[in-house]
Amino acid sequence: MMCDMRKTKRMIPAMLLAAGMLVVITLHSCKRDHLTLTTTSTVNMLTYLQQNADQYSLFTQIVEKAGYSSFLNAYGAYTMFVPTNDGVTAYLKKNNKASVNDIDVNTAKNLVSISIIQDTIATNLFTDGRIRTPTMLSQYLITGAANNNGVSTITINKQANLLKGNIRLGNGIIHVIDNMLVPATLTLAQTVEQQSQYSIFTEALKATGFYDSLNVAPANNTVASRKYLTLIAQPNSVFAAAGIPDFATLRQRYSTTGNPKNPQDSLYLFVAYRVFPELSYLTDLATITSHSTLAPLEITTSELDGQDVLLNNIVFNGVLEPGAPLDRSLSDVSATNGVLHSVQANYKIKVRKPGPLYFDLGDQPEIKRTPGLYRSGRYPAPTGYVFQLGQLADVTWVGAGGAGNFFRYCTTGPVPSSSEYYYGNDFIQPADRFRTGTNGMASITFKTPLLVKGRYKVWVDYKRGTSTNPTFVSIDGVTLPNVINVNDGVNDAESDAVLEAKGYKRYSESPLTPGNSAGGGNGHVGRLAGTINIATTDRHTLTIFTPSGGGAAPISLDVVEFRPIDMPSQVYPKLGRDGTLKY
Amino acid sequence: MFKSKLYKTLVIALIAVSACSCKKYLELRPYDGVVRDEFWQTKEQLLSAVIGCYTSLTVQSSSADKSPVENFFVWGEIRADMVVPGIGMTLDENNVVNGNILPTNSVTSWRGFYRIINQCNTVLDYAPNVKAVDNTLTQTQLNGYLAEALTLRSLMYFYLVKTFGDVPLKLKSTSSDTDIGQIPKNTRKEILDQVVADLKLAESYAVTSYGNNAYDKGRITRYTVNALQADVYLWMDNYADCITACDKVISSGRYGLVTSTSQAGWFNPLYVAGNSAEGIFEIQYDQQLLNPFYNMFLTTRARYKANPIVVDEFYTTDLQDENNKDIRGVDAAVRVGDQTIYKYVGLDKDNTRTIDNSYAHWIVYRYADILLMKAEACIYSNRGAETLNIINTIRTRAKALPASALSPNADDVSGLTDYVLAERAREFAYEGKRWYDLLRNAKRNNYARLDILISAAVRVVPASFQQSTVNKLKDPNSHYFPINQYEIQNNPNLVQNPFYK
Repeated sequence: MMCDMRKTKRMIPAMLLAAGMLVVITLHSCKRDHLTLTTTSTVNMLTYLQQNADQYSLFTQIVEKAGYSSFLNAYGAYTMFVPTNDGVTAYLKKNNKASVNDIDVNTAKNLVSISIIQDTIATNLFTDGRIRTPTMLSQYLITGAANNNGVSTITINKQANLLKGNIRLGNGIIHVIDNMLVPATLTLAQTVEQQSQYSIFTEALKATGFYDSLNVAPANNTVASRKYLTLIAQPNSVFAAAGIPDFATLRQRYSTTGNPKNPQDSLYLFVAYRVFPELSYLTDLATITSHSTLAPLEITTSELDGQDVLLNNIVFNGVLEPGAPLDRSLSDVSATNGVLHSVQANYKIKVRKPGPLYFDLGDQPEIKRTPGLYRSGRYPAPTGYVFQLGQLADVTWVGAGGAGNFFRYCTTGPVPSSSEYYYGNDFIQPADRFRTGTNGMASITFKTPLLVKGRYKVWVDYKRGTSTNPTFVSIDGVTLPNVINVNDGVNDAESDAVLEAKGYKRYSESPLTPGNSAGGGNGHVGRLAGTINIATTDRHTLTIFTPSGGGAAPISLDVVEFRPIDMPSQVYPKLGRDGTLKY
Repeated sequence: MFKSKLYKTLVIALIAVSACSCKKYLELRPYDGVVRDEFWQTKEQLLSAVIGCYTSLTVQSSSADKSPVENFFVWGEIRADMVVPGIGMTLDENNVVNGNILPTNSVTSWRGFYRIINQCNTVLDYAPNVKAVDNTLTQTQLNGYLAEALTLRSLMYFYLVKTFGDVPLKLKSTSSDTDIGQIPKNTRKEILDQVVADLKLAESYAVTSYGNNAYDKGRITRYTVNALQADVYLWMDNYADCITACDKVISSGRYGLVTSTSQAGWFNPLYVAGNSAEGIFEIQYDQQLLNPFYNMFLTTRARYKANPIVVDEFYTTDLQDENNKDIRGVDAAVRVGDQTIYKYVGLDKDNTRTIDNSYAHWIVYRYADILLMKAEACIYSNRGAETLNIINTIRTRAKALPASALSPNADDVSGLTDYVLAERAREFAYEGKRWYDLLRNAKRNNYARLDILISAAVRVVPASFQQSTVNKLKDPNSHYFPINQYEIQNNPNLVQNPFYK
């Protein structure tokens, strides 16, 4: 027993040690684990606003008032423009509200809805115009940049400056801005009416009845295509510069029927011509060149020249008709049902008579610009000068393979041979093979020069070749009835009248070669593709295509003629080698 | 007794064996590299360290980065008006063209430049010690190497100042962990003052010739230092010193314009063969070291194309006679048919390089540049007549067309500025100079000619971004790139350019 006691005594330190370890282990396991259970510390929008209450507490209150706090903390893909507390305070002060509590629920909903886009838009997607997706209020926000005292900032909706962009959160992107975004509340008609500088134009809107049609909120508009409009307003100063000091003079000058509400009346058309049934901000006008208007079948063209957006800047018959510039500072004004622009010069519908258009297919700006190429006599077939898809702005095609996917511009030699009577001594070949399938081009599309509305006979002028593929012409997608077969020739024994009755003609100044029943006119043949009704004065699309897959020969196209049907002759003038017309 | 002796012997043997075998895995020196205290022993090692600095100009610091030479082109051209996006242009580069630059944009990475700065710093720190070890290294030789490192470092800082404005100035090498510091930005003035001081020293150190044409063009000589001095002084609006530096190169008699009656006779020595009489400093490529230009300009997914207006508005054309042309334009700078940027990929009028012989040099400075820098400085030194003389010399050599001529008076500062700028655009098309030329002329006299930048932007920025870009350019801070997000995150002492908030 003694021995046992001693043994036990000896073991005391060991036991103490064991007990101590037990305590340490137990205490240790009691300590709470700090395990990170989320994969990211990024929060959602509302939490972010709450975390930064010193800057965003007021906007958070508006969000809560609008009842939108729950979805802003759920998953999604939003972009939100958040004004700082200073911005909200400025808004409250401007509207004589003591606090956010004084804003009613509907206003709060509008204020938040205009600030949220259901898309993720980082600042690199900001352009000069509207953001690609509308806000939750279905109004578009416009972006831009402004310079104040040498410091440039991005502006939002011309109302606020960007303070800090691209804060990426769990459910989207926040951009911090210095002012409250306020939705447009007026319609286009009301926006114009409110500004005294548009008083003459407002009267014209009222007299023609357009005031009412421009005064409909999108929600109440039953015509889906007229919910959003673009209005080109004309200030009094511009009217005055055009010699129109008041509405009476305007009415006197334009109203032809005496009743401006009559759709035939010129004043009605004058106003209708200024309304586009589309939502086009300045960037849209700068990038899209043709816009239909409410004046039936009349289009307005727009283009960017330097920094100016010009309306109806048109080259017609080789003469530049200078366009009317828009006033950038007064334009891009959003209304509930569209956008308002201000024009700096009086413009109206131009009455044009349809005239013949001889569209030399090789007359492309890029070809003319290349030195020593256009009609130079240096690039004869079969080599010519080759362009690839994308190099010619006004020509596109569908082609495949090495022999089918290019555009060849050819001239004659320095001295054209005795059988060559091309208009301007040049022609084009759509690739080596005009056919479907691989190594062939199946269709080629040109943008024509300006074509005045009217009825035209369309002649395709070609040089006779070996390809027998049936070829068709379509204009704006309307296929013309006659088949073109470049293997068809004319018989020089037949008179112009007989040929024309068959739908053929000798378009060139080639001398007659009697006795040559198929290769007459040295093989320069004009073929009537059909008659087309051109509805609008615009640049139209001309497509030449074949549905056939045979053959391995190129086709040589010279000119496409648009001759008005009431032109005295469909044959004369003929088209000369030197690029002039031969009467 | 015997047993204990045996044990002792065994123990001693064991220790002996293990101590021996320990050597390999306790050794801290790498097997496959050279460490600093084994390097910097001979003048040959010093030479290879210096040449390494040049080589770094041509290689990427990481696969995500561009080589500095590629950045010379990208930074110098894509914000200006002579380049438009090709099909293969990256989204980041496209955003730069559109004036939509964020700090996350990879184009704003400066890593390759600071890598070379560090290499130069290493040479500057350790080269002097070599002389103590290797007695065959003379002081003159050592000075030559130091001049190369100083000049190359100055060139890098000069690019950084022109591109980013204020950047951190690091003059000591980062050779150990203790050298890694988070240093703040210095002002551009501090950096340029350092560059001026370094170049003064380098000028006194540098050799005038290496006795070999390729070395004289490919490595830094005293005249390279003078050329860089001229460029730096011009940027700092120090016209008198700029003219002095230019005159040093001109009066050296070592350089001259390549004169030839034909386009081929001009294009071939200058761009195809390289190292012409005109070249002052050219970054050398050869069959072992291909340049990146083939992929940038010539493939079907070319990243950059010439702006279609370049031929029309810069060189102009004679529509009657295609052979009457500015030899620098069609088929030299640009191939008109598909708007290919032709300078670095063309062999002659009709033939282009293939990918395996794509080794045109990148010209940093050439004699024409010296002349035109002098012409620009003369405008602001009341020596307008000299300016016009120089421009006419350049134009005569190039067979410039009358349509591209301007006729400002010798005292018309603004008109002469436009003329020099336009002539520089024609002469140095796609040589990475255009944006810096525009910016230098725009910023002069407190942005008196901001219109230069704006009209250039109007020519090239897509319609949908035009107005915002114009308004952004009215803020001088926007002319400099943001510091890349990567650097900002790693160095809290860096303050972002205030425009990019």
